[in-house]
Amino acid sequence: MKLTRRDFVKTNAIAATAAAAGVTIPGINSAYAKSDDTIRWDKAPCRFCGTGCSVLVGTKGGKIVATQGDPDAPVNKGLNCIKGYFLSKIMYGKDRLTTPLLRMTAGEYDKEGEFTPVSWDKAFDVMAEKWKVSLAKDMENNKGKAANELTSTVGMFGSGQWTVWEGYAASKLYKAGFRSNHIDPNARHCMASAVAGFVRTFGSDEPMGVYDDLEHADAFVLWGSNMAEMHPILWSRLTDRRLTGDDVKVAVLSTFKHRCYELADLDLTFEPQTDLAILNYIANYIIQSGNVNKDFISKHVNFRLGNPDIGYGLRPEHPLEVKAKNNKSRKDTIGSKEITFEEFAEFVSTYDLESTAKLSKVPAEKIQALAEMYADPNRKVVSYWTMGFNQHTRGTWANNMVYNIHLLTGKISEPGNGPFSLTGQPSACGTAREVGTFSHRLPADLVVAKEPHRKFSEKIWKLPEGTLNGKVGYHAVLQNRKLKDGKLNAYWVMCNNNMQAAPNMNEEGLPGYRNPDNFIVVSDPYPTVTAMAADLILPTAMWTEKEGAYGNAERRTQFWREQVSAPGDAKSDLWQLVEFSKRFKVEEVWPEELLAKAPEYRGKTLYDILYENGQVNEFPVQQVTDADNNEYTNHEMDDFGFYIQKGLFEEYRRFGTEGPKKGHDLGEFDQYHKVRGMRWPVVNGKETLWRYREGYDPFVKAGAEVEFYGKPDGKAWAFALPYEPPAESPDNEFDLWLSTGRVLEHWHSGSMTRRVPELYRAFPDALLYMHPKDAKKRGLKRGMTAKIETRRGEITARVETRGRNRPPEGLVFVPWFDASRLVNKLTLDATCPISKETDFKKCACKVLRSA
Amino acid sequence: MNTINVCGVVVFAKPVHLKAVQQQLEGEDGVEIHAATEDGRLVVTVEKEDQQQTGDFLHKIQALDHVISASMVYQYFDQV
Repeated sequence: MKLTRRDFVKTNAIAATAAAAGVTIPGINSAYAKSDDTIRWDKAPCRFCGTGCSVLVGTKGGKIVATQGDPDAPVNKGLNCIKGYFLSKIMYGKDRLTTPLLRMTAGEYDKEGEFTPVSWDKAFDVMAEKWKVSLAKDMENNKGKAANELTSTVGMFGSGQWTVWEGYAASKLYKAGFRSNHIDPNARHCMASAVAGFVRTFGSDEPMGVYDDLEHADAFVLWGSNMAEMHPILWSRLTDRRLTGDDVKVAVLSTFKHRCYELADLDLTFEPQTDLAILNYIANYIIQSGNVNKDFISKHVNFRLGNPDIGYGLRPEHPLEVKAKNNKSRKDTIGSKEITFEEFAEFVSTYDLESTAKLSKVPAEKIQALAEMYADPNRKVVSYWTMGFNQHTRGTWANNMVYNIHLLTGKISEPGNGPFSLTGQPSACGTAREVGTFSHRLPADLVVAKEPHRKFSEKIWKLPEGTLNGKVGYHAVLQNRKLKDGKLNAYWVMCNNNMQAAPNMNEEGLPGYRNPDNFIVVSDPYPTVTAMAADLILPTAMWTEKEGAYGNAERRTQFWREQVSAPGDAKSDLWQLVEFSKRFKVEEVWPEELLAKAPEYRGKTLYDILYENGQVNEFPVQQVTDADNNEYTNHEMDDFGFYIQKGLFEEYRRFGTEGPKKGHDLGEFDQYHKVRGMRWPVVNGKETLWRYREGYDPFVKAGAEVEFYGKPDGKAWAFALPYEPPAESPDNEFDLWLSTGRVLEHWHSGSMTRRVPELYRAFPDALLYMHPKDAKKRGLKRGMTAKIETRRGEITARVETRGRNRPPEGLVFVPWFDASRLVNKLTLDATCPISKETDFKKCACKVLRSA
Repeated sequence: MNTINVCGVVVFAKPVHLKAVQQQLEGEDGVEIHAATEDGRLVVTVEKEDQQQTGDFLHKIQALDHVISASMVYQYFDQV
């Protein structure tokens, strides 16, 4: 039989789809061929969420022309979500930035001037001048101060979308070069509470489980995660398990009904903040019903009573902060004391079914059914959560409390059992967390506040003792406050859209950027809301326009090669950071007493000390090729004269292999280019699936079965913590809850997805999702324009009373992707006092008919 | 039509509503169902004039009642 080309293509499509669905179709040959040999195909992790799907990127004539799900990828097994389907178009928006733009009047920099094209030289000249003014001031202020008392007026807001080496280069430039810890990633807004929760309970960041749990669990519980829209590929794996497994159950908890409810066997729509009470009730139920795994807790768990009344992370003069008891120092907010299991049981015993149902407004039988699911010793349970838990004024507690449930039952660190925090950004784990680009962290779980950790880092980085600053820097929300207050003056925002993303834009973000004392630089591929609020915009090469590495939510590090060149004068973040370091003589940033300890550095630049240091420049220029001998460019290697990505990565991974915190080992650079990622710890070239479990994790002592080795005695901490009310609740005037979030079609602030015509058209404007009765009470109908107002600002949006999100009475939901409806003019900058992550899910608003 | 524009999609539907989902999909231009399993898995191809139409249809699938998830697997676009 002769096949036409159309038949051939279609047969390929059917075969690939059937294979991905796990369906056999007679007569269809599953060995489908590549359909067009003029396209070069190579693997790359997707640019969007933290799932870390691998896609095949098709390049033709120097342009990305197609992407498709990678059938060899264990994460997505050939599947792609709608955003991934249109991935090839994100780099080709009509308004790509191709040259630096500086605010100027009459040929000179002027904060009130118009954006004017300038050369990179001019851009860096002006920028370096501003940095040097600040750094000179810092050196003056820090005279005679100990390493843990150093202050700084230079800062950076980075990203969980940075490649691993970009985050590493940035962290090194700030922490080692400028001696400033005021560097924080946008990941602070999305998973800082998960970090704090992991570290507090287990002494080590990141999940113990892997996505393989999706095929092993008997029950899935989604806590504040709309996986169907935000992690669609994991959702399709979960759906597959639910539909094909034997008696598999799905429970969904949320403050409003969303797409996941379609599959839910059990749905719980709860009053905002009362998830804390539900979590404690479940712990109580497990204890009361005799389902505690006593052997497990006696061997592997310590019990603690955490300090209550820890405030809301607002400015110290806010009445709520004045009133709170345990919020005046870090020691107080994180403080806890040892208790017995019996005392823990006593503590949670007040969370009975009746009071929990009343507080949460969830029918008692549903809460009990959920508790039974966890308690049943014969049911393997995985808990997933995203922003519902993390963006919470008690986000760290919520994380701690879900661990309590898994620890009490021993359902953890084994196939199909475990708590798992999902991430929103492609390298929130790989870059923000593992590289440690937070204001308190160093690579591989080390922290700036601990002297031995600083000393170890100084050794790896070949720095004189005492270089690293031991004072924790400004976190995301604090950076905006300090900009407004004029305490942070030279500020670089890279690879994020924080003016749109950060809370309380009207009162904190915008006044901070436009403060005449400050010079704000924004690096981005597109003129975002943030870029337009800057003084200097730097055009950035994105995604496969550079060689990169991301780390996904299951600890999988994935590499890609540069596929195409960036347009015009756009340069990668890596190039920008490293090139900028050449502008600083060490004498301009380090005091004499430090230089005296390393006289060989006199007269050198930060570039010499940080990057051309005999380690980062160790690997010479080479031709990058794939297994089929296709050749790839690498612009940074050409520009710097050595294989800089490899040098940075090989230096970075020494923090894991030689550092004081065990279990963070990464594999060799070259190996990652050959595989579809590996999950750390990688030991002898082998990845680790379930951490802390003997037989899977090579760091667990023989015979221990389970060892939470992040803690000195190998035992995890279960915390007794109460329900406490949110920072702002509806009242007579502002009578509705406002929750913000995302939608399937757009990724975060929409700076990429809104530039894909097909995605833009599918969901052009943010809508106000509300209950029809709430709409009616206000004289509103579906499709009408409403005004949404909080104490901080107002926006307008069209009312939606049907559709994918169905809030209960008393709550409205507005997505934040829409640059023309900036919902963060409305939100409150209250944070979890421990993690410093903003609660974007709860504040009080009113909705009115728009004139 | 002188273009080839094919997309393969895995659709998951609630088994009790499988028939209804199948019927809705079959009523669409250029849409074929190649396999449907009792547990709710559908192997679907979509052939449309251009990528915009394909994109619109993919959005439409996601929004259909009783569709739990829809993932793209294979796409091919070429002028012949």
